[in-house]
Amino acid sequence: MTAGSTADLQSQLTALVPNLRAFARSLCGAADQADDLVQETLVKAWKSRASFDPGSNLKAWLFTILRNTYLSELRKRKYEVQDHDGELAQQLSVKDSQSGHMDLVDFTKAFAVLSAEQREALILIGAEGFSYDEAALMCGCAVGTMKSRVNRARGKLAELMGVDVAEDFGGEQIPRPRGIAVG
Amino acid sequence: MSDEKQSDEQMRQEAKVVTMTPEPAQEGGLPSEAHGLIGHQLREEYRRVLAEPLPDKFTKLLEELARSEGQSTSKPESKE
Repeated sequence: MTAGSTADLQSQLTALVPNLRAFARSLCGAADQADDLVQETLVKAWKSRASFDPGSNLKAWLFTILRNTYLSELRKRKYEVQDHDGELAQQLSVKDSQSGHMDLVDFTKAFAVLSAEQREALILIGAEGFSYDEAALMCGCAVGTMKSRVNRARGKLAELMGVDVAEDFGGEQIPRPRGIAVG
Repeated sequence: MSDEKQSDEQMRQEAKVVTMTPEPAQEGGLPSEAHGLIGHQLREEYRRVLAEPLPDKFTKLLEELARSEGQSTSKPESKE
């Protein structure tokens, strides 16, 4: 690799750090943990840069490294975030069944209730603008699975935030998808 | 239709960081208003983090990686 392409890669990576941080933050919640994850991603990306196809999407490649790193960390040690999410979700659903309606929460809280898979799907599609095909490829799942994750995530958010039109979504409970590290 | 969608996709790819246009609400089971509101808040929140100033540690780390590349002549591993 020439010095030129090294500098090139360096600047390309630098330009994408804000996106990596935002994506990491939506996966693990805590800002410092997210930044650790981004640093780890950058090191891994640098080491394995020979395997990157220059004709392909660098951001997608980096995001894939980041989420794989996150998931393997998650499998290794259970993040406290995971437990927190579960608790919050449980509280919310208990309220729901007791009073027939639940206290509405703002977007940030509602987002935190979603599973990691759902948060990831929403961010990739809804915030980063990846296509369903790209996102499915990055997450190693079927396109249909990606679509259903996005739909469930949106439905859950609408429910928690009390978005009016959610009434039309029907009274049926949306089953809570299994978390990545659960079970 | 799909061509149109694809070029739209490409345009968005390129202009992604600057402008994030709302997704057309056609895929979901929810009415478009929900996509509108939820999608809007999602992008707002994401943009807020995107706009945060970048801590030095990241540029330093990348400089360090680039420097170590210059010093060592070892071939990059094909697999990490």
